Amino acid sequence: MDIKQIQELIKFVHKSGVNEVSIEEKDFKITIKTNQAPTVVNATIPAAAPVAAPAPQVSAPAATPAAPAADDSKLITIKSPMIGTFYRSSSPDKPVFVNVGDEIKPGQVLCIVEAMKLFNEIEAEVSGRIVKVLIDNASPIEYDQPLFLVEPA
Amino acid sequence: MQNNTFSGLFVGQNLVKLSAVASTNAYVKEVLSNSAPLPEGTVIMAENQFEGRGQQQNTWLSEAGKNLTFSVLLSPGFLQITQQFELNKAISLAVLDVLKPLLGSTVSIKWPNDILVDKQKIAGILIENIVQGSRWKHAVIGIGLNVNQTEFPDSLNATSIRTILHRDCDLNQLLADLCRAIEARYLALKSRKFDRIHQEYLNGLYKFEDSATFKLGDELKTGRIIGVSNIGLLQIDFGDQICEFGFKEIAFIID
Repeated sequence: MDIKQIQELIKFVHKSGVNEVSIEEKDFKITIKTNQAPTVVNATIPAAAPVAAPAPQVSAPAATPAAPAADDSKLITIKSPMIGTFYRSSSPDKPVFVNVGDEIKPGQVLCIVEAMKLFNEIEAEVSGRIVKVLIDNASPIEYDQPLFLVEPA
Repeated sequence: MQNNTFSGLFVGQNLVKLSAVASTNAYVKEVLSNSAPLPEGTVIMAENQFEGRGQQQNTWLSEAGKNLTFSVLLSPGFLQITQQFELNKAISLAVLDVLKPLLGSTVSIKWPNDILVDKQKIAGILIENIVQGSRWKHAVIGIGLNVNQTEFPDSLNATSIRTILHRDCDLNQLLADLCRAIEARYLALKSRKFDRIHQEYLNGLYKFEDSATFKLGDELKTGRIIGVSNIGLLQIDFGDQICEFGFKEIAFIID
C-alpha cells in the first residue's frame, strides 16, 4: 500500500462515518480510527515495507506505531542551492513553470534563481506533485531556503 | 542551417548557424530539454536573432546580419554552484581579450558583465545555467556583440566596432576569435587559476579604484569600487563605509 492509497483510505474512512477500520495484509497492517474529531492513524509498518519515503527519520523501530497521520513528513522539500532572487517564470509575461497540484518529473524546470545577473534554471530531481510553493515571485532567497513541497510519486 | 568547424578547438567544433531564431540561448535550452545530446562547446549562431534578451525584461536590439549573436554550451560541473561568478569573470575576460587588441585600452567590463568602449556599451553577456539539486549541469553563454550596425536608439548608449573603426568587420573571423578566447579562459578556469582570473577581472572593470557616482534607490552617492566578493557582490568604498551590492541594488551613473 503506498502513501496515496493510505490517504485515499483515510478520506474514505473519514467520510464513511465508521469508528475504526483495520486492514491487515501479509506484511502490512493499518488501523484508522475516527471516533474523535482528529483522525488518528496507527500504522505498523515493517522495516521492509515498500513505502517510498526517502526521509531517513522514518527508520523508527518496526514495532512502534507510527505517529498520528503526519503526512508532511512524507513530503520532500526542494531547497535553493544558492542565494539569489526567486522567479516562478522565465519573464513577467510568461506562464509560471509550476503550480500547486502540477505533476513534476526529474529534469523539469521548477523556477529560476537569479544572482548577479546569472540565471539558474532549477530542475526537479524527483517525480511527484507540487503541494506548496513556499516563496513569492521575485523574492530574495537564502542558500538552502525551502522553495517547494513535493509529494513524491 | 549549416555546420562549420574551427580547427583545433572544442568551443566551436560544433557550429550551427541559424538564419533566424528568437533567441540562441532559448534554442540551446530547448534542444537540451528535449534530451538531445549536444556536445560541450557547441556554438549556435543566429544571423537574425529577433528576441535576444538581456535581463528579464530588457531586449537586445540587433539589425539582421550585422552583429554577432551566438550562444556557447559549456558544462562547468567541475565548479561548485557557489563558484558561478568565476565563470562570469572568465567569459567577460574572453570578450575583452578579443576587443582590446582591436579597439584599444578603453574597453572595459561594466560589472557584472556588460562590455563598454569608453562609456558606451558594445557587447552584452547573458549566462543561463541549468542546475539539478546541487549539480551545475550546463551553462548557456549568450553573447551579443555590436559589429557592423551603426545606428542605435540614443537611449541605449550603444556603439559598435564599425562605429569606432569606420570599417566593416568579418563576423566569422570575430566568432572564431571569440571561441578561441572563451576556450582559453575556460581552460584556465578548469586549471583553477582563480586568483589570476580574479585579478585580471578587477583590472578590466570599468571605474575600478576610481571615483564614480552610483544610484542607490533614489540617492546618488560617490564612491570607489574596491573589489568584487566571491559570489560577485560589488564592493564600494564610500569613504565613511564600505558596502557590498548585488545586481539591481545599485546602478552606475555614466556621465
